[in-house]
Amino acid sequence: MPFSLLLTLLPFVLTGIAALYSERAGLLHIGIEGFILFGAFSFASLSSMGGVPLSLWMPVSLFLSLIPALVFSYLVVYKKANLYIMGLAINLLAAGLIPVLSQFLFKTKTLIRFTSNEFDFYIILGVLVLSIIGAAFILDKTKPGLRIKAAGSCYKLLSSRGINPETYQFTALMTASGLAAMAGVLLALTINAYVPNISSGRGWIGLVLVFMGFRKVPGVLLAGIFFGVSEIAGQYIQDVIPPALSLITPYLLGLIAIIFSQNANKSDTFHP
Amino acid sequence: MSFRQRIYAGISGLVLTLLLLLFTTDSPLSAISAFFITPFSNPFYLFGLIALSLYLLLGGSAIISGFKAGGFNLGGEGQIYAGMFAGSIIAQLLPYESGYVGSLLILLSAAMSGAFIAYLSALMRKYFKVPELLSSYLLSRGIIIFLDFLLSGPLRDTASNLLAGPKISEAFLFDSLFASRMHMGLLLVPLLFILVHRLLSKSLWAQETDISGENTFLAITSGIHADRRKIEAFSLSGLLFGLIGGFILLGPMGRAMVGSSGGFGWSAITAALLAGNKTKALIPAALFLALLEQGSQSALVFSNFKFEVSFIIQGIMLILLALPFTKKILKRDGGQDAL
Repeated sequence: MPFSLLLTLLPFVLTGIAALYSERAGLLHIGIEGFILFGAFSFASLSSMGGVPLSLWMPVSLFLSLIPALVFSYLVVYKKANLYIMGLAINLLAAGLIPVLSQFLFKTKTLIRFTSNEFDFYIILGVLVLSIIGAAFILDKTKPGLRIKAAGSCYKLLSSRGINPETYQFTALMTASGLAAMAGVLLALTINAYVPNISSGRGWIGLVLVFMGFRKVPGVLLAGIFFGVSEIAGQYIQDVIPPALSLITPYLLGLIAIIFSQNANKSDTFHP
Repeated sequence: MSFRQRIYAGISGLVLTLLLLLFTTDSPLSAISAFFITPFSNPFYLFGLIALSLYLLLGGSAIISGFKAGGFNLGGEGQIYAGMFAGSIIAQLLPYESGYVGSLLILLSAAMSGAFIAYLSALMRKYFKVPELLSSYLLSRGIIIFLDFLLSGPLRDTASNLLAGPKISEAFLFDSLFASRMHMGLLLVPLLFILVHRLLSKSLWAQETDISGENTFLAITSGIHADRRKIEAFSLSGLLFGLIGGFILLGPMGRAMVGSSGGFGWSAITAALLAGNKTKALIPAALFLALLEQGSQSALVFSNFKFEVSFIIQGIMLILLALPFTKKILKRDGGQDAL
């Protein structure tokens, strides 16, 4: 049970931290869902080829996922493309590209299976946990993290000090996309497969976690754990509450959380 | 957004479609023919194309109305679905003798339910500063899950093999043309669109809403009730999406079905952006997107074209539309982006 809980809550935590990176930089990344799918698909596709340990395929799959992230982040930050439309575009591209590639490579649009062994599994899991800790630490306790926050809230102050805010915004979006892809890798690894809609709205829940956690790293981590626990609990109470109704919980909680967090800050600090 | 940019986006969409038809199908020529010619030569597809474009006219207008309020309505799918569901409930309660009067009442209830959901988002913005972008999406997802549960569970029509509610009385349904999704009720849409166009473009309300969305302080000092205008505009957005649900219900389907919102909530965004946020330009934009979708469907049937390719085309077009000029028309409220 504790291990399955860990596997359930880690994707939430990853997407929460991903969304927090973007939100701190003043950019709400609504394309996280698409990058989860890219990460999961690329990892499953490479892993299904075999011949190489999965723990080596992971960085390759992340690299492949970061290619669209590079284009996305560059266009948004340096070419001033509208972030929300770009996010929608990424989600649409993922919905379109992945089935087409899947059909082309594997002659199927549904299941892509691969096998894993315990050693690779734990290596990848360890890397992901360390990534969460590292990302959280950097965002909250280091100078680059502070500059990312400044790029979002005091853009002109940063540039007046000779620091290019765009560099930090770009880095934040790339990091967010990378963490989202990692969440996808974990989702695929958990079931040893890629299935359509493997993300199941976790990208949007990541945004919700930012507000539930009051835009703070410990809060987002706790909110992610809460969602993981809720999902596990939902599996045990299916006899009492229909599963479909428990699926509504994240969205309902998310709305409530956003309402309270916006009021708690007592200022219109959300700058979409 | 410049006219040229929109044209480039449209042309890029066409070129990309051609390339994908050439390189992803076994017989490119028949795929191209199925995509570009069949929708016009086959009555089923032609009327399907007209129906799609009419739905996109309404949907695009809904998105534009949301933009006027300074918000981004991402809850279109849920509002359409809620409209369809509410309409089907009202249909069960109405006597079949009410005929087309009943149909109008069904449409009205569908519109009101969509409007109500959007109204909730607008209220959350006013009282709790929750961006409509998030609240509309979260509400929509929750509603879709809940209605899916109802339609596949307690309210499912067990007499049919579908995950759907009971069929509504034939007396309310509009006749379908050539068994396509085009039905006689959709002939109301052009009239509605003219009204909506006048409301969103030519009216005093439109001007006041524009100012309210652009600069709330200026609106207030000009004596405009800015909050009210924003709420009205966003509610109108939901109303139009709800209407789409009502029209879908009163067509060949005749019942609220799981997953039947048709993706119009998302396609409408592309339509609105392609139209540069202008209702008049929605006509060619909606026709163009309808052709892309209908063409994909006929190419799917007559060749091995993959339907998902239409998502790729839309995604690329959105990227082109997202580039710099879009920011200007979507920037609202005194330097604080509404999006």
